[in-house]
Amino acid sequence: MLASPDPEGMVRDFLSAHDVELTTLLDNEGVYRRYDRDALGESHAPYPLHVVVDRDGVIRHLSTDSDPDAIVGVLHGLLEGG
Amino acid sequence: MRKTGLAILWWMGGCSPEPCPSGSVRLDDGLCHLVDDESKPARAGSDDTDTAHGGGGDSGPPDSADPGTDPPCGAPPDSWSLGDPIQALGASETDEFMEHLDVALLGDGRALVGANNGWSVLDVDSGSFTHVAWAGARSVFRLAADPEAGLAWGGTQSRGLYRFDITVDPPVVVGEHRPWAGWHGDVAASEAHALVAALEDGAWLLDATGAPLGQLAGTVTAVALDGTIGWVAGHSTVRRVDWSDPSEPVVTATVAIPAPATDAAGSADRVVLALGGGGVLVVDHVDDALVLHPTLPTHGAAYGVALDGDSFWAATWFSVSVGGMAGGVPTWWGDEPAARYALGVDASGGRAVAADWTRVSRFAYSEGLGGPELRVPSRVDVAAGDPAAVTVENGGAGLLSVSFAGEGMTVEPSELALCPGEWDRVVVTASAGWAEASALEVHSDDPDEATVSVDIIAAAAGIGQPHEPFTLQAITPPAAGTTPWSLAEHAGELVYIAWFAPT
Repeated sequence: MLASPDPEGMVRDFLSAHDVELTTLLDNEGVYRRYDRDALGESHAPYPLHVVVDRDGVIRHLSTDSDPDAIVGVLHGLLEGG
Repeated sequence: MRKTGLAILWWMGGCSPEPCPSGSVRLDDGLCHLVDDESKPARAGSDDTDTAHGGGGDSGPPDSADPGTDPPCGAPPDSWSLGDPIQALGASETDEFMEHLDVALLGDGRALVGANNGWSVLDVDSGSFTHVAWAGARSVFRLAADPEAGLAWGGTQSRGLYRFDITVDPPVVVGEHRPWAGWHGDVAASEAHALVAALEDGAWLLDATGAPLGQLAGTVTAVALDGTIGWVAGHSTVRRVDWSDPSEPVVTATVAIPAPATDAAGSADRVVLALGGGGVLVVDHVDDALVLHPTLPTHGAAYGVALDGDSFWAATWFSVSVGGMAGGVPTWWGDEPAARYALGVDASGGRAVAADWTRVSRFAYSEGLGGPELRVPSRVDVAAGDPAAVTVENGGAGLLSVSFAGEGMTVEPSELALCPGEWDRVVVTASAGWAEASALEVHSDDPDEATVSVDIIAAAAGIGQPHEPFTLQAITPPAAGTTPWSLAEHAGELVYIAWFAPT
């Protein structure tokens, strides 16, 4: 799913403009700000921020890179691992 | 479509199926497929059912190699010598924070660079910024230049399209235009016309004053223009369009594409598409039909593309890559790491300038050279006690031989041999548990990166830790309103959250 800390109207406009129908969370609680971003290394962009949580609620991937291969790899690894 | 092998999709734009071109047959899916007897696994040493492979959509690597022959990756392309084809010339940044998103070469040694909060002008030879224009919240996401007309066009996404007079220094905005409804995406320019991807409101052709001349319906996300021939690409198709009569554009051919297009660069008979996570796609116009070449995998998501004669460039987050046709097949010649994150590129005369997030980077291309390109992540995060999986890919031309070294580590397999486009994953185990940070050395015959280091970071950034519980309001288009969404209610499921900012 998608998530954004921006206002609902802006998010809806963006989703509509790009014909996106994914569930999108509105972060009015500051969840985004509470990730351990300093440990991601230097020169990271604020967005995107990708998070993968496994079936036990544990974070298995946290990245600011636009690397679809890495995300797919993590997801497949978790699916294969059961 | 099978992940491996080579399939060409032909769509003749008529009501009845045309005969398939020579060397191809029509299958049950209704499409023409090449009779492919040189299919090649996408992953070295494994079968092609491994769906974990990504970066390049569902097509295999360039069909320029035949495993089992000598040399191992097939004969190298004609007129091609082993060497490093692309050199980084430097990266520049403005005095204050700017996020550079796209670039257009103005044909006179200047580059116009669009950013999240304005635009700037770069001297291509020196890399110096000669002008910076702050525009507050007005972002310039996409740029296209038309040097002969003295114009450039800047897409702002949610506002109007800027029209720049580039005959003056610095360029000035002389108009803002928005005849379409809603947001817009990509922009292209040629012969005093601008073509705009207006998303669900189709493609719009404007004249040199910004007045609308014509519209083509259908969702359009990326465009290219060469004289009266335009290319319009959307979520699932690319169309070649004759704009000779702007009020009645004619679609001359259409073909399905494997992923939505984010950028396009084209001539009358070729278009190169950036497909985000789907890689880069080259489509040729041959005998009134469109030929879909195998998708080129990229190191990161492909955001921007540019044509420079017979060469094509791509900005793909981690890298800036240059490629061309080898034996009729698109091939990467090489790449250079982005200074930050490569989001847009333009090229001319063997020189390229990339919008590289907080930098603007410059590159030079040496034609006729190519070599294997080592692609590995710069860091891998692992939970304590877990092995690290490191993906290694050959993003260039020619065989890539790889070996590994790391203190206190075992690597399986310890060596790799990868043909162009191939990848494999090695498992790295720490004999005495992971230190806070460990360095895996990767040695290869990449002409410009003989040794690189992959940082393996243990239990950092919350990896291996429970995600804090939360409940947020969720939008699920097209439904109105919001509903609460709790992480706890999805225990037992895999959850992927992609955080983004709309503008």
